[in-house]
Amino acid sequence: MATREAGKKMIMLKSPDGMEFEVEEAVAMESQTIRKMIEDDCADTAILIPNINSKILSRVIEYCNKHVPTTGATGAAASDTVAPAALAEDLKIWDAEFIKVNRATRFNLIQAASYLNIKGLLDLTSQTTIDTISDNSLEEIRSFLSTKNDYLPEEEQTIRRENQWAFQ
Amino acid sequence: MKRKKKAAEPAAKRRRPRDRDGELVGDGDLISKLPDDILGTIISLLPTKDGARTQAIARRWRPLWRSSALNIHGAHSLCSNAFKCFSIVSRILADHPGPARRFHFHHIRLHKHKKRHAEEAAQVDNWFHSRALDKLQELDISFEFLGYEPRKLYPLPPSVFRLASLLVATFSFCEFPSQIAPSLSFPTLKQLTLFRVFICEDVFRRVLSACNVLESLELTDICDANCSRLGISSKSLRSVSLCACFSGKGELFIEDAPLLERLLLPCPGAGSDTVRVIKAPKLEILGPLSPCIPEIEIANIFFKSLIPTSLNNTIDTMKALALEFSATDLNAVIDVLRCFPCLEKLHVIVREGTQRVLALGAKVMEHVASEAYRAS
Repeated sequence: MATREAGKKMIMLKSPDGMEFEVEEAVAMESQTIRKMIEDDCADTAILIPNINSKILSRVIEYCNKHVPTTGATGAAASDTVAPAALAEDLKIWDAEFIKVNRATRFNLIQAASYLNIKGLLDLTSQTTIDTISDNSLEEIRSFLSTKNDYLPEEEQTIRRENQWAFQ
Repeated sequence: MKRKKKAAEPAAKRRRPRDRDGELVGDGDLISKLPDDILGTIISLLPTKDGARTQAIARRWRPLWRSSALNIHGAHSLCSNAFKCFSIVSRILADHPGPARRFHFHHIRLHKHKKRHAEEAAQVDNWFHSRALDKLQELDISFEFLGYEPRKLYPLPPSVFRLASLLVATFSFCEFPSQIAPSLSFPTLKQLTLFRVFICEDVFRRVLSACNVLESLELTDICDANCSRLGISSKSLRSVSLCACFSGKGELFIEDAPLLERLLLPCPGAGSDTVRVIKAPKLEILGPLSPCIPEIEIANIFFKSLIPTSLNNTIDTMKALALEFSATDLNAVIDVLRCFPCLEKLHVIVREGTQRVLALGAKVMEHVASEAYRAS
């Protein structure tokens, strides 16, 4: 594909713990944050990625490597086969394996995805939290989040009344 | 009714989230450290009700729903009473300042009684006027047939055309107006899907020319006896999918699509329309072609029930082709493959006589492949 050919240019990413990662420009540009840096010409030498340690950064790069050919453009125009469904299915399986990590790692990945602005990775890493919040009672959500209910009973009643449709 | 009560009370006895080892899972200490904008992203990905309910978790969460992008999914889960669902959607749109990420509402059904129908129609039109939808990105709406006049499609609310920030739009079971303002513009729309809509040639052309960056267009069952011709001209389109475009006889012309790469025919032969590709110099992916398609024209080559009418022309840009055929069509298949000498991928859908096709087909493909290889 054209983007791949053109994307042979390499970019150096540096984590705060001193590790350097050389990646294809197209892979690095999966991150909208890095894309902006490259487009603004702020990326001639290594790009320092603050707050993301080498362990997490290498996983992020692994994700971007896997996702680079299919997410270049949106939707149907992106894939180069007549049957992109199979490819999407493979990616889903890969994603499911990728996200089998412990809580701390997942939390770090959420933060990294947010800072680097990688939509697919943010959606993937947030999914567990989303699954927990949807279809569970408030008590369960609070216990999952270890969040204390700091509302006065009457305050909570007001919120429930104001948004009655959501609590039915 | 029982469910309602349960959800309203703290349901301590319900299942708690557990991980694979059966251990109680909690992300709390970590999640609460996340900044507001990430929590906002998470809320905007939740189903509509769950998103709003996060306001009641704790004080920290209270302002987040209103400051995160709205996601409206007007489905059974929002309210089991279809008519109540209307007022809930109106209520949410009035409560939330926007912007909205997604507005998804299928089977919008208006009351049969004419007076209530008019009130609800005004309500639907008002939704798309609301400030909350000013920057809407994804729209997916479909309507039920009009109750008071069977089999008549619902007229698309005119306010929809004001949503200039759309990236993805799907309109199903509705009727486009017979005239559209020349000022219409969807400057960011990339994907457009029309499913079972009534749209006349002129309005269709206007809509397409209003989408300067449209990449993907999907047309299914464009119904109307008066409309027997649609023309597609677009400088940005890369993918077109056509499925039984007209319920009656009709012709669909791809007149000028300089960037078009994919022409997909997901249900070959399902309609009685004829597709004619006049100018698509970058077409790489096509199919499935099938003997069920009475006629299709691609850059001066006519395929009549799969058989190409002339073997003098070739299409050298084509890289991937899907073919649907049965054992009796093998001769036609060889001729079809000669029209596309630069193919890299061939997808075969065998309709009947699989064994014979496999036996003969393997030889045929080998033959064609070596012939093509020599030619290049």
